[in-house]
Amino acid sequence: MQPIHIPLQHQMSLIHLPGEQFRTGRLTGVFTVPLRPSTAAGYAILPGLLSRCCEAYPTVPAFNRRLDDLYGASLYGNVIAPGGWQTLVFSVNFLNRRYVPGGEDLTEQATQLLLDTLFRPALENGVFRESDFNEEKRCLLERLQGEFNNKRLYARRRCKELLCPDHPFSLDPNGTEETVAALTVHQAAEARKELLANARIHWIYQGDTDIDALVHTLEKPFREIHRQPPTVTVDTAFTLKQCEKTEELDLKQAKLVLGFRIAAAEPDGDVMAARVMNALWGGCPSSLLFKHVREEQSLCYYCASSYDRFQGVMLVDCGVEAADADKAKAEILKQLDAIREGNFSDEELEAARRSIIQHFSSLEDTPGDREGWYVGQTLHDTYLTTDEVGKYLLAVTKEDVCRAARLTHFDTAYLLKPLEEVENV
Amino acid sequence: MTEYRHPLLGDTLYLDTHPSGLTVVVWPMPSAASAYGVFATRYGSVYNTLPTPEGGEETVPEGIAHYLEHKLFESEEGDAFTRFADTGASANAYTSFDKTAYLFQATENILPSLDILLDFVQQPYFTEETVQKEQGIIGQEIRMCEDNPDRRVLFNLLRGMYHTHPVRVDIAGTVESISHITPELLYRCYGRYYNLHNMVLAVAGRITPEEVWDACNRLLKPAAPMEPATFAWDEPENVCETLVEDTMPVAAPLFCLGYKEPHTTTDPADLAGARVLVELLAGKSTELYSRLMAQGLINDEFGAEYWGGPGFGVWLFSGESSQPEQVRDALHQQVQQLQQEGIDPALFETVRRGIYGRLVSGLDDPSACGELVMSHLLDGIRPLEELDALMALTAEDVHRQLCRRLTVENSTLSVVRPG
Repeated sequence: MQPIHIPLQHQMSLIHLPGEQFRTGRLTGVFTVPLRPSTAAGYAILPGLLSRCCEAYPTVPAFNRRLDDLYGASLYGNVIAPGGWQTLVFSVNFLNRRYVPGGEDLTEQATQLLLDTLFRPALENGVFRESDFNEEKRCLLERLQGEFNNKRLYARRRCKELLCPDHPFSLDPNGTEETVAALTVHQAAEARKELLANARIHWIYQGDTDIDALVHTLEKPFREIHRQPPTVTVDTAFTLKQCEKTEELDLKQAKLVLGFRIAAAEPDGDVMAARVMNALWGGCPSSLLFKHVREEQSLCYYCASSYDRFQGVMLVDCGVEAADADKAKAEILKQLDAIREGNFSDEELEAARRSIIQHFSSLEDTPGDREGWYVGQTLHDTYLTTDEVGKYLLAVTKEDVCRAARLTHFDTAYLLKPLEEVENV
Repeated sequence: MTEYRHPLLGDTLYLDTHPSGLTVVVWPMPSAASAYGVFATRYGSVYNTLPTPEGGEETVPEGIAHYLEHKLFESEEGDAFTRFADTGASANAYTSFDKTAYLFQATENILPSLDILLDFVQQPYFTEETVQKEQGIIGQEIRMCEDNPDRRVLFNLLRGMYHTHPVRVDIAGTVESISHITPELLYRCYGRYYNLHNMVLAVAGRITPEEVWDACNRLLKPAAPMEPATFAWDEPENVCETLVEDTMPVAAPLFCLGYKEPHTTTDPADLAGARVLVELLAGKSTELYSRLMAQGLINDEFGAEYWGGPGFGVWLFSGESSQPEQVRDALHQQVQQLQQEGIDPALFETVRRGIYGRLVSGLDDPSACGELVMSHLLDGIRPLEELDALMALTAEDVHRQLCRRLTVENSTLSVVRPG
């Protein structure tokens, strides 16, 4: 199904995905600002702060009872960092009228509730209430600190920091413990105003409704705001530095993360070839890494590659015995060489291609997955359906995949190992 | 197949018992992009014995159900993942306390993928070499789990709550316990529990009941009738410890508070009642949740749920807190207060409406639909019966359940602190 791109006033746009095939309707606001150490925390607190209550429902219980009244509508915010930009996503998901006793259409009420959280939050003297602000600040701080608990994710983050130091890509979109701890209620209030005035704003609506009325509803609150959104550019240039770092913690299993730079990134790079290459290398159960590192050598339970198409970065990570880290690293690099030289079968290539095409097409099954698909595309304002991407992926040749591998360069190795004598990888 | 049209959802499901003995359910979703098939057996980590030729029971190594799950993908001809690679389907499997499930999701080549699923699960093949090879892989999976603080705080809780019931044992076992697994033991477990009378096939999404039934007719091998495995665990009603403490490299203390259900249940009214009760006790609509947040005692990691299975039932409240004992005390007080004062009917209706909406909202995904009906059937419940039970509940029903099923004294707090 083709998305309908509707330009809105006030330098915004609406992507409409029509159809009533889902049990829910969904409205998503996508707000993109530069990711900077000085402003990240102020923006990062907003998803939690704005989705907990609003002026009309000024306590958490009252707000959640309102959501329950709307038949379990869910309203939440999140922050991500595609291409080193800070993107805040606010969504409201609500039941399709077919499933509401009495057939009531909840679109207008759900839409208004989302807009109320953005434009009519619960304020006191023009700023967020201290109680709300302090709770959300504490939650954000503890969330940042809690990232340490998941050692796989922690190791990936450490590798990114080493791979792209001094670049927004390596920054946590939630800020840092220091900047969050120092955040004031006035800074948070200012961040909300800045967001509404100066973020790139896209709306995504899934379902069928009176679109003209929706457009009017979305545009109306911005009438008094002078907006100056940024132009998005992503610096994908790199200089290889061949960095290696080992750290240790009280762990049972070592986590090895290898960072690669690939000269294939949005909007102009051969992203489709890179996607197929990533699937072949370590992006699916039939991949070369699964086959060789896990099944043949029994070195690990997981060994997977991932491709960030905005930044031109690939990460390969696995959990291994510390003594096997060298072996795993050697095999991972060996398989990349194999792809560069075309030492893989047509069957292996087609299996990888089929896997990634079907993975993308299955994202059409839920509004949540479709939201993720289109949110990612707002960065460069190019909107392809999963079918269209599937066709591009079908056109990728073996030589394209080899070339993508030759554009991929090893840069950083990070090893997080159990407490013992520190050795270089 | 018997048609069942759900009055609230408007969907039509198809349910029947195949002549081979397998229970089959199909949930057609014509507008879905994919189909999801799950072929599951009522065999998980808690079923830890096998009958002996002498008529007794012997205990099998911990982690064997999970080990069998890994090994079933291999056959003399090769690996099932390689076969699924030809269709492009995303295939996987998991082992829980009470079931093992093999599944695929595909947007193309759906019928060939279904054939592969039905075929490979019925073809056990275990040799010394293949069993030995898996030691390293599962060993690393176990190590990965050992580094997971959420898993540690949960299994410490279960060990504190349960004296002898095997739910207290990690599903994957230990590196030591899996070293005792042999091909012969795997074949015996397979023969005992992978009988089609003990299994369910659920397929949801872009598929028809005729297509599924045709695949069953072509591929299922008739199974000898079997009585479901019955276990009588000698498990007292009370918990064994009220506090279990541990340390790991974590940023802040994690906690799990568990109330032990004295009598386990698969009654749909009890399952629906549990969903309502966890919301009424500590959901975001409650003053308790607000108070705990305002006092800095919980953060947005806090959650509540009920889960149960053969011989066990746990009301679980978990999250992060610098003062987990205070969270426990506040929850105890909430339980007792609601038991004494009753349930506010207006709040009950609001919460029930929200749960209904959230349950229905989750049924766009063929995988969620397939998992739900498979799970219901393995528990002996008609598909979607829990949703019907939810709509039939009253505030008084829920209050009676609260008084019957939760006892403050019969609870355990598990804490993992930074260290």
